[in-house]
Amino acid sequence: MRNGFLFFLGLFCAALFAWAGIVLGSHAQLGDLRPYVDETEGKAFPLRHSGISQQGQLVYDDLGCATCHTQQVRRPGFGSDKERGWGDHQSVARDYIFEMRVQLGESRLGPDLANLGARKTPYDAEDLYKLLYTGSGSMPAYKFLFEQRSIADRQPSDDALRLTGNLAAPAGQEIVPTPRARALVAYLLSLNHTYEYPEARPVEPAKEGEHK
Amino acid sequence: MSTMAQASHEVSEVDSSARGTINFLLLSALLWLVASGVLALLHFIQTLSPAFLADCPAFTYGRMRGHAETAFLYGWIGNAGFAIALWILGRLGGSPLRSLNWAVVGTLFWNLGVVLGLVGIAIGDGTATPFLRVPEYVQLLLLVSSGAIAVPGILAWTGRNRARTFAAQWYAVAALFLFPWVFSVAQLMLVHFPVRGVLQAIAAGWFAQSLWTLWVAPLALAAAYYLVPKITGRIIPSYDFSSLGFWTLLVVGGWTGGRHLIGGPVPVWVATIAIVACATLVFHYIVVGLNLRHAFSGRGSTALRFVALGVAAYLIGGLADSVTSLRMVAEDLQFTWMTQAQTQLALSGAFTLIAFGAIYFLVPRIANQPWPSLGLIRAHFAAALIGTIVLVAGLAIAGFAQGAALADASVAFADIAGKTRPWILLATAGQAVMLLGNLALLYHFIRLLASKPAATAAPLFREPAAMEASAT
Amino acid sequence: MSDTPARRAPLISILFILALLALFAIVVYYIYIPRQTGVFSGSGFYTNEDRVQKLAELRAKESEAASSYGWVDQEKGIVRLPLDRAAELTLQQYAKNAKKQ
Repeated sequence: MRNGFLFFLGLFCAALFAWAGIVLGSHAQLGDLRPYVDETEGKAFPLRHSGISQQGQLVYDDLGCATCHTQQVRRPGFGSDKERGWGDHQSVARDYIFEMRVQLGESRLGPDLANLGARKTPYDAEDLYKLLYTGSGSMPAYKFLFEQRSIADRQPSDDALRLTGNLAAPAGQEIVPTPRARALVAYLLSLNHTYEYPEARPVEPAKEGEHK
Repeated sequence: MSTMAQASHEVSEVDSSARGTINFLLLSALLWLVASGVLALLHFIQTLSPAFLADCPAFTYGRMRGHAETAFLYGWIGNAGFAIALWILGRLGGSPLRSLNWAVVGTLFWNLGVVLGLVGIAIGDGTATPFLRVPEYVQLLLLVSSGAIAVPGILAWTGRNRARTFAAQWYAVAALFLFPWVFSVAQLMLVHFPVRGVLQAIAAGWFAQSLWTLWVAPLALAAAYYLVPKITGRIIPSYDFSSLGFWTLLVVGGWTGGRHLIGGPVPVWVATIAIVACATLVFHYIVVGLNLRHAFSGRGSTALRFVALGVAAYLIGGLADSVTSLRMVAEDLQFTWMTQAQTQLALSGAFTLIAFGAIYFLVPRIANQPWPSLGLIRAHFAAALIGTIVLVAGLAIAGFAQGAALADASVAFADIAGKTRPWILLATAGQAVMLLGNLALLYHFIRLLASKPAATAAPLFREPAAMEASAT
Repeated sequence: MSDTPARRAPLISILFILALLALFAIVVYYIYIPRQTGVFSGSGFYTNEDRVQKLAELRAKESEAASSYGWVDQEKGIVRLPLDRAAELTLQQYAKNAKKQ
């Protein structure tokens, strides 16, 4: 490699080649994804997130929830995602077009969250607040997302967590979620990849004797 | 007369002129190594006992992962890699490094950037993109600093004495160019002008894999390709193939970006090409193995033993990459601790061990004095060997256990953590042992810097192995 | 330990190297930015252009229905009248009724 210029050119082209292939190539394919308009329902999917749940995604991002949770359902037959109730069909690219910071996640120390807003036994906001406040199993408690304040001489807040036993707030105090906790829970409840786009229909293997 | 000539050949102005800069880089690197070891240990403890530090928002689990990863990758690997690259390019370039003040200022701002990055993650400005968790203002600072540090190295390449170049030089200069390139484009496409939807995941995958194959691995290989023939005294066997191996790594490396997106919401070809690229890279690993096999002949030099261990980790890691990227295997092992095991095998195993070998070799030569204590070197080697093996094995077995449990839907999710717990405990122990060894190296290095040379070191150069310890 | 003079490369070389280090990002910038799409920013249902067009279509339909003659149901003999004409006819009807009383 005597010729410095050729060497440099080689380095440049090698780097550009892989970038152009993977990133630019997939961008050409998916860069212009738009919502899918469903005429029968009269809506376009994916549904747009509300503002507070977009803020919640930023909270999810900076707390690093993606370290333990994924948000991608794999197709039935490839892993046990469907059997665990995480989703009936795989997540597709269109599910993520409204997300400012896509949080696909790389490890499942905690369950997959792609369809948390659409579980068969649904969560509601109070369940999630309790989960965040107390933690569970290998999930840490996020007490700093809540504040403990005195009830003084007013009515207890509607949002106060109803906790019992040694987790309950001391007398005269209540535990309320901070705005970040509200945003995060709003985001979690909005996670819903259940709409079945044409490209997401599970590919069922043809049964014997059937024509396709 | 021949010994004096040999001595002057071994320690020349090339080394002594760069001493301040490289010592600065190495001191920062070792401090970050210890710091990141502590952070990683705390992170493992949090995995085992989630209540640990859970009330402290700066150290919540996700952010702690960011701290440990940033300190390790940008603090330790960045500084050590730059030190190795500059030293090799200076030596093989044949003349003292020019414009080292650029590197000094660059190092200062690089380390400032890493510190700011940790602070930024702690206060909540971080992101969840693997290897890019620092806030965007820090990313820019790191980018510009890396350019400044690269300047003397690239000058040494363009201003080299002889037309003929060595494999170590190609790898070192490639790393110096490719890091700013890959880093700047990742910032462009993920932070400043973000792409839509899952394209972020694809770009992030390309970035993470390029960081390994185009930056960290070339730095490790530059050190290995320099040290193995230098210490063993034997030329590289299949030297003609080394350029093929070099270009294969560079051309194919970035294509492995989709490795962790198998079965994900991305076009299937992204994952398939990643599998094919991982398989193609096996050719590169074969070339490296063939060329560096003399490292395993073990001639008593501890630096060489470190390099041999690192090269072994590199080759095993490469093979593991190509196997775990296959769909059959990825079905179970995706999203498990196996990913961490592979990352640790590559970064803590391959790069770190080879870098240790390089540090033990180059520091006496730039300081013109031997290492004070052979015992500390041997203790560090034992700790690094045991610690790395235990860490990687623990994580890998945890990955297998977790993968098997995840695949079986009848296993309740809450029970899976219990299955991996003993193996994570093992990995934590490995991490602790590694930390002890690295503390020994830090102490040893500071002691060397602080001590005056006992006698002129030139006679010691007759026996390179003796450079590693004084006679006392 | 001799004091070696600080070695400096010409500034132009250093700037050239920094330019080479920035080159990849610059090239990517010019390739990528024209194609950039970013987060999907439409309403989710229709884009703003679609909405304007749909509103125009709706208005056109309504104004057509309110200002033209046409058959609603030819068999039953129901017709459509312009609003003004319908108002005139209704007024005449009321006037006739008032006269009768």
